[in-house]
Amino acid sequence: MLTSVDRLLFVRRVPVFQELRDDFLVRLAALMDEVGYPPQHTIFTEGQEGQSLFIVVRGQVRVHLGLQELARLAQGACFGEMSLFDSEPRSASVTTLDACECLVLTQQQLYEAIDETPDIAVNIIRLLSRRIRDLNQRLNPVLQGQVAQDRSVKA
Amino acid sequence: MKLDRSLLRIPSWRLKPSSLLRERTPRLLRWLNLRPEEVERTLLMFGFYTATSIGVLWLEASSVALFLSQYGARTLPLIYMSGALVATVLGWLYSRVQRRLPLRQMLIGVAFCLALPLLLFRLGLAVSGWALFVVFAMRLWLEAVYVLSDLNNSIAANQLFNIRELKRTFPLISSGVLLADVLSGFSLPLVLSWVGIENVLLFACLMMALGALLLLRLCQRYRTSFPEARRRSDSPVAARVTSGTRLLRGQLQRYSRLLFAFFMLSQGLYLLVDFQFLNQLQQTLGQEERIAQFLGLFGGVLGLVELSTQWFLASRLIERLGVFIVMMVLPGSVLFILMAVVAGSGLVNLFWGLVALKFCDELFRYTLLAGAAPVLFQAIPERVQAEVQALVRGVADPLATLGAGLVIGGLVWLFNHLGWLTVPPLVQAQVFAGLVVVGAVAWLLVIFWLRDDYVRLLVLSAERGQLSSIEGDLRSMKRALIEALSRPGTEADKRSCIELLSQIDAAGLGEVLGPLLPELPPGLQQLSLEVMLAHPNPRSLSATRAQVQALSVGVDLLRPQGLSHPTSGAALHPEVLAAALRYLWLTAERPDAYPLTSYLRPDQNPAVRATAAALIVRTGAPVLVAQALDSLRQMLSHPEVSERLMGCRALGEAACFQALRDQVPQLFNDPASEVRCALLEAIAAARAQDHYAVLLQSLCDPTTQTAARLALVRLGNTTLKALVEFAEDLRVAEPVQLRAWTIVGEIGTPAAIAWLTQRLRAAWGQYAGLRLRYALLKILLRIPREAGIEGVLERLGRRGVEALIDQELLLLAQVYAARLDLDLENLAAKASGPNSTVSEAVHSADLLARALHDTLVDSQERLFLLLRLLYPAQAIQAASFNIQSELGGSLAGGLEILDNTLNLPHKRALLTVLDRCPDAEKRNSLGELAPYRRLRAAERLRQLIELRAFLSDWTLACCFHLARSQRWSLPTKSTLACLRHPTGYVREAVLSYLQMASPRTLLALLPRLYPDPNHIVNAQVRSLMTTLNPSANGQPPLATQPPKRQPRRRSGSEPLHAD
Repeated sequence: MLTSVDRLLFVRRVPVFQELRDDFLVRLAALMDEVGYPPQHTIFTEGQEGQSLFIVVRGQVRVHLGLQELARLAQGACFGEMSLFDSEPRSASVTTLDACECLVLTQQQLYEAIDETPDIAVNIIRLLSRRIRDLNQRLNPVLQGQVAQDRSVKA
Repeated sequence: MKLDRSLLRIPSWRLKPSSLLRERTPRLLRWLNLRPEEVERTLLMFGFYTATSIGVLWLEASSVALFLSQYGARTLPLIYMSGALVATVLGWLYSRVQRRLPLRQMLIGVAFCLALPLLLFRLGLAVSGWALFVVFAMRLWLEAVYVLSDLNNSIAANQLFNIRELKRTFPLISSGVLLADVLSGFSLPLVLSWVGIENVLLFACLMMALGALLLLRLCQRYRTSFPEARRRSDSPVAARVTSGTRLLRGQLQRYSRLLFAFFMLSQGLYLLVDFQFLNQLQQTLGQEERIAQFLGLFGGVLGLVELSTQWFLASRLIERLGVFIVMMVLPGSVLFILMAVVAGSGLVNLFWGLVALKFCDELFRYTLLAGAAPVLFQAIPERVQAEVQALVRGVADPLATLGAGLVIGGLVWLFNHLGWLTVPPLVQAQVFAGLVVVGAVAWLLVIFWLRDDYVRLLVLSAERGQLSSIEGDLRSMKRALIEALSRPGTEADKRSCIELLSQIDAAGLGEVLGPLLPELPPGLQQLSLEVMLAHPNPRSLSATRAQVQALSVGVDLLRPQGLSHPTSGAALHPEVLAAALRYLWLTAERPDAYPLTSYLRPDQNPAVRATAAALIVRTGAPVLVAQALDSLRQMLSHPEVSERLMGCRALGEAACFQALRDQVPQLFNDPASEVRCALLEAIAAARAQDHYAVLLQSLCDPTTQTAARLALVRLGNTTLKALVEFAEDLRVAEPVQLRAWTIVGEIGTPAAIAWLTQRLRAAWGQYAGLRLRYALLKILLRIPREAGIEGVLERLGRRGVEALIDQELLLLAQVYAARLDLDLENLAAKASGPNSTVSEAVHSADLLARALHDTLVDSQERLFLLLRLLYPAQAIQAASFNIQSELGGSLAGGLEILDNTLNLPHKRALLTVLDRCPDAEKRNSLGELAPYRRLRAAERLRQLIELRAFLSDWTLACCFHLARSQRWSLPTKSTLACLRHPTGYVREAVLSYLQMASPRTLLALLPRLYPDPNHIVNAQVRSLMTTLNPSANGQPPLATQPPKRQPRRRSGSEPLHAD
């Protein structure tokens, strides 16, 4: 089993938790379950309701839509981050490539941690707004280009 | 290695009384509303006020008398005008000097400077031919003395006491002026007959110098309150003044203008009366000695009456009549006396009439008006209150003085042209009386308008949730709320109005809400009925009952025949009908439960049925009660949630837990959380003692914790002791414990505050004590009307809170020393060996560095919370916000606010700690509290571990991780003590350390450490067993005793023994 420090170092890499304090994270990490999966095991499938975050501790997983592979994730990578908050259906499936171990954080565990340390929620809000801002900044030039293109077509 | 035990100091629970008080009883202090630590300061300030005021009053009497005899009253307008000019110039000069000189020097310098010219005046009076000039200069100096002395006194008081202390001490201190009135007044004739009028100046000089000496003593005794350093720049508070004034818009602007007019008219009227009085004095008494004697006696008698009015009458009158009626007393009495003097001339002698006028003016001005006027500023939002006050008082008075001087001067000039002496005194008096009448009527009108605007502003403030800070004119506010309820408006607004009404006039609710019932929507009808029932008023009960009955449409609820077919209230919402039934039956003199039985039919709405059953149980005959209980029993075991829910509510209302004891236990495990919550509510309503434990247990369940919280708050002191025991129970999880402490704060009674304060004091030096201290401070600060702050100050005293601040500074000193000596950045860089070891060394150094940084941040947060116990929340919050901001300018602003606000013994150290400067500088600044001695890194780490009870769990765990990675040895006792730490990751860190430092000891200990409540530690123990003792093959021994965990709150100062 992973030690608290190992767990902390893994959790710290998850973007939504990056700016949180170690003493909060170590408590959060202690709540997480350490789950082992055999090779070629489907952790979840596309469309399935998701309420957990996974961090790959050992092994490798592939993210895929049907047969089409989207990405491979190795040790330290995380997936299912957003479903912690919105419980929306999974947008892709995840299958192990070899024997894997993952740290799993459920929505319930996160909410309990937030209840205990509301600063976690404040930090998550900060990070999510920053992401929206970044997305807006990325989208603006695209949208402006689209508008200019529309105008030129009309002209 | 010697452990620095300075951290372990705990503030004394009860402060030792000062030497002055050793012989006195606490009852005297309670009567005076003083705290032991305030006594010396208050007495010295009282002495300073009294001595200075006696000197000023003697100067006033002698200079006025000399002036009248030399120049006559006709020249007074010139004095008024030049006085206004002098006041403005000196006020400006004072503020300039204040920025250049240290406050202490400036206060003492001004106090002595006010006295010294009196000696010169005395010498000048002796020189023939100079008298005319000297007398004029003296009269002008008197105006300067009024202004500067007032400024000096206010600044000294404000520096010496914080706002909460000032509220208690200032009435006492300011009564020094009234005492001075009496003493100086009655002694003046004696002094005059003894030394003559010119030499009175010397006595005045002596008294003012005595006052200055007392101020000097104060400044020396309370050095921290009077900074020696010059102010570095314009205060950010001053910068906020301009931004604050920009906020004056609309309603507030109009109100401020009216306030301005109010103070202008007040000052103008005062000068008009003063002029006429002195004019008559000069004409009637003539000689300066007689004038001075008369003024002395007048002042003495006036002082006596003022003192008695202030002590026994003023506050009662303000309380009974309201501030606005009280403020009308002064202009009203002026009008009345003027009518007697002028309109009814001959009935009252002109001289004595004016004496009476002056007497009433002074009496009401310095008692009733002085007490009521500050209330006018309370309607102004707190953020701009001080600014508006400074603006209105600072400009209105000089402007009014100048205006009055010009008007009086103009009239005198006119009379001179007509021939001053040929105009009969009565005609002159009538002209001035006319002016005074106009002024008084205008003043009355302004007060009337102010009253309307004041109420509007209060209502606005109340809507913003600021009512708690307002002690306004509640009668006017009630009127405004009733008007708002009758006007069309949103349900939410009207709900707020009803809630506010129930807060300010609970007894009158029936009279107000009864007639409005038919027009209100169902939600408000229900609320109105509930609040009326909670506060029944026997005076209006019958009328309200009739109104409620009328609401219940058509059928007389009280007649059984009408209830054979209970269609009553068919149009009503079931909850409203239930509330109406409850009101009518519970307020009835002889309630008859029989009519209610028809409401027990199963086709009735559960809300109505449950209410009827509860009412029958409370008021009915045994046969009916059995029927009602049966109905309730069915409801409680009904498959539908709504039935069980209403049944639970009825349980609380009827308080019949005992009768339904068979049904209750299953409800504790009801699948519907709303039913469980309703049951908790019922336990509190019925005060079912047998089930109080359930309330506490329900705090652990997220679905019921809110209901349990409300129930415990409702029970207040009844369950307080059990709640505190629960909060201190080591088996309860920490978040739940903190929740329990929060409820103690919500209860907010003196007993609850006492528990919180006691815990705040004792939390230091215990595991998880830092988090608990932070939580307790927040809880105490959140208690309304600053009761938490008052409670802490009451029990710990100012010095106790200062000691808590010092503890935080001591902790900071240790952390900075650790950062300096451990030099964690270099430690990581120096790491050498195999890759895994290097990585471990880097990680452990980084983890400890981050943990120490977080400890500093936490400590700063606690410091700001502690400061809020002593200083205005607004200032501390502004400073905290600025200091925690990333911008350099904001940091400087925040420090400046603190520099101008704090008067702590270690203020400089605190400011340096909060400043952005190197650790070494910060550590040096704390040297006075805890001297710094450089230690080797390993030794410093050992010292940190010795101070484990003052560190957070995570910091302690990081210390062990660092020791492991650096292969440093740690004291055995501390290591073994930490093996019993309540937090899993600390035990885990210790085990890792022991694996490196002493595998054999660890192997011997391992069987005793299994099983561990923490799953990670458990896995670690098993893994260690396999690693250290391969023959065991990871199997735990069969007979193991769970290790005894060290109680979380064991004090760090106690020796900790290994098992």
